[in-house]
Amino acid sequence: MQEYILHRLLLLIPTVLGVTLIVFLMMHFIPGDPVSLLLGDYYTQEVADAIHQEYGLDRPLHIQYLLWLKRMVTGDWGNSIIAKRPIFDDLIRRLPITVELVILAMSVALLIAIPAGILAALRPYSWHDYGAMTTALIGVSIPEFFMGVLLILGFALAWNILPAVGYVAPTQSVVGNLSHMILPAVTLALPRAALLTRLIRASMLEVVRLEYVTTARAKGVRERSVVLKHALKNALIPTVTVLGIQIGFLMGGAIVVETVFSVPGVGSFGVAAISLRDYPQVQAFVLLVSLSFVLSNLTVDILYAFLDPRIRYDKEID
Amino acid sequence: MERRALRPTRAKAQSLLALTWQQLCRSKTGIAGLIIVLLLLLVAALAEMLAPYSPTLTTRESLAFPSWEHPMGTDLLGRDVLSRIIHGSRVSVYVGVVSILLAIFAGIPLGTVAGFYGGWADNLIMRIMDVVMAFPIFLLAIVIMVILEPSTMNVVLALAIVRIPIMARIVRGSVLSVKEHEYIEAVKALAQTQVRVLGRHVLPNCLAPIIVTSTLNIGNAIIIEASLSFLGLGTQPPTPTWGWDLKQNLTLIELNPWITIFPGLAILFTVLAFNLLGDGLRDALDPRLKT
Repeated sequence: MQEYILHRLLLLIPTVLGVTLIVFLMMHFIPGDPVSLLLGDYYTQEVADAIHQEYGLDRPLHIQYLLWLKRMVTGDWGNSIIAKRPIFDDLIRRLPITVELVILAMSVALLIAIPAGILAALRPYSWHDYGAMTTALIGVSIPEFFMGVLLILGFALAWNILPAVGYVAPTQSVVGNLSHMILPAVTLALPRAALLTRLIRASMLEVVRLEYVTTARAKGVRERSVVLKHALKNALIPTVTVLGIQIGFLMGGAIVVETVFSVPGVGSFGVAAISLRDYPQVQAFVLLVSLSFVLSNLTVDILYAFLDPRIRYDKEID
Repeated sequence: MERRALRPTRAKAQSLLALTWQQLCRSKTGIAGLIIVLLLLLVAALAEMLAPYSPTLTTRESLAFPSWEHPMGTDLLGRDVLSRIIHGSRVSVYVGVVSILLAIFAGIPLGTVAGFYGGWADNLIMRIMDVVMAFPIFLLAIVIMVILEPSTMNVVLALAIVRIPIMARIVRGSVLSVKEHEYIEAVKALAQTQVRVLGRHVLPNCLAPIIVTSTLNIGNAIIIEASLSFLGLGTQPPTPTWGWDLKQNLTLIELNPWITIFPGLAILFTVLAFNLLGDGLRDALDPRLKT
């Protein structure tokens, strides 16, 4: 086990280096000199040269990368071009909002997907199987922003029971915070719930055919506990692997959903930075989101090894 | 002799197609998907003839509700929403299909080299693919669009790049499993060149997973294209796109909700059609995946 975790942690090093390298190079691929963008109308050759020197932009590329990496690690993420504020502070202040959104969305998705997947698998090819599967298929085919629009139309405009857009800090009012977060979280959750329902149904169908389930039934275990204890536990294992990928989708989706609902999280920060062409902010945003994706994948992989001893064993062998 | 050698291959390819068709016909939803996809291609191709108005023609009839004259209403500038949706299908279908084709054309050689030759080439290619996959797909697409400047062609490129690792992985996986079969051993014993072994015998047997994944990925590519357009990072106005139209009309949702709903429904039905077709093809081509 320890060996597997160590192996997985070592694999993290090339991934993080690769990701940071791409994020670093991104700035160099953007057409135009970043310094002239930074100075705008105040551009003079002397000032530009001075800034080049200060940030080490006159050095060779690999040295620049190392210097940049050092600044990133020490939390010096530079200042935004337009507001001239430290980017790191701005992002860290917004991070909890996006994390709350993603956690809420994941919980809602699982709360829908686990019962729906089990129900569909218990009576395959029945009407509630077809019902669940059709709903799930529509769910994976709907873009997040359209789902958001439909929810705003229904819950905010037609029935007027939830606020359409905006954000309230939980320190101000917990109820206000949740009532503002619920529509974005459900928007983000539904496509994920659809995908997970399909997955849980498929793996439940596979597991209930296995002999140990038959054995459990033959022993006279109650059906409820056969399904929930014996079958579900093993059926959920493949779901955990997909969770990692789903977290990536959630963070991608959060970018759009935060824009639709005006949630002041990391995603809307990124969108604003892109439309203002504030490239240092864009770079910081991309770095933060991609690194948190890498880390959540790591967590899921390690969790997976705890749940399924076979994986651990296979990976230790090679 | 040469013609003889060709014939069995051709006959086999036909029978695979025929078999797939037979299997697909059994799935009502798959056929429904296929019909909608074909209709959609037709709409995109004949947009100019089908649209009742020009998609960019502005009139004084601002924010009209659906009526006989304007079945889906008009937007703030008095443009006919139905005509904009018909023309918007072009970008969606074009981006979805062409980006996946590009990803296949890049993914096949990469995956084949990695799977067939193994060793350092495999390691190098797959590690690079791993780094690309370490980004969430949508974020990576955004990054590429920021670097490349928004335009339809660049959306195609961005969506192709994010799919290459997925295609390469699938091809590599199928090549790895196919190359262990005895018939490949037999072909090798006949001293055929490696290119011939690959092109004639290995790749045709990897086609099924490539076709299934591609169809399912077209739907997802269309969602990402619409999301990029929604954020203003996709095809630029005046070319109508469903994502951008939805975003424009979102601010007017209280005045006329219909003009926001119709572009969304267009995206939903298009993606649904490709997903139905993909599910049908999966059941037809890969009985193992059937649940």
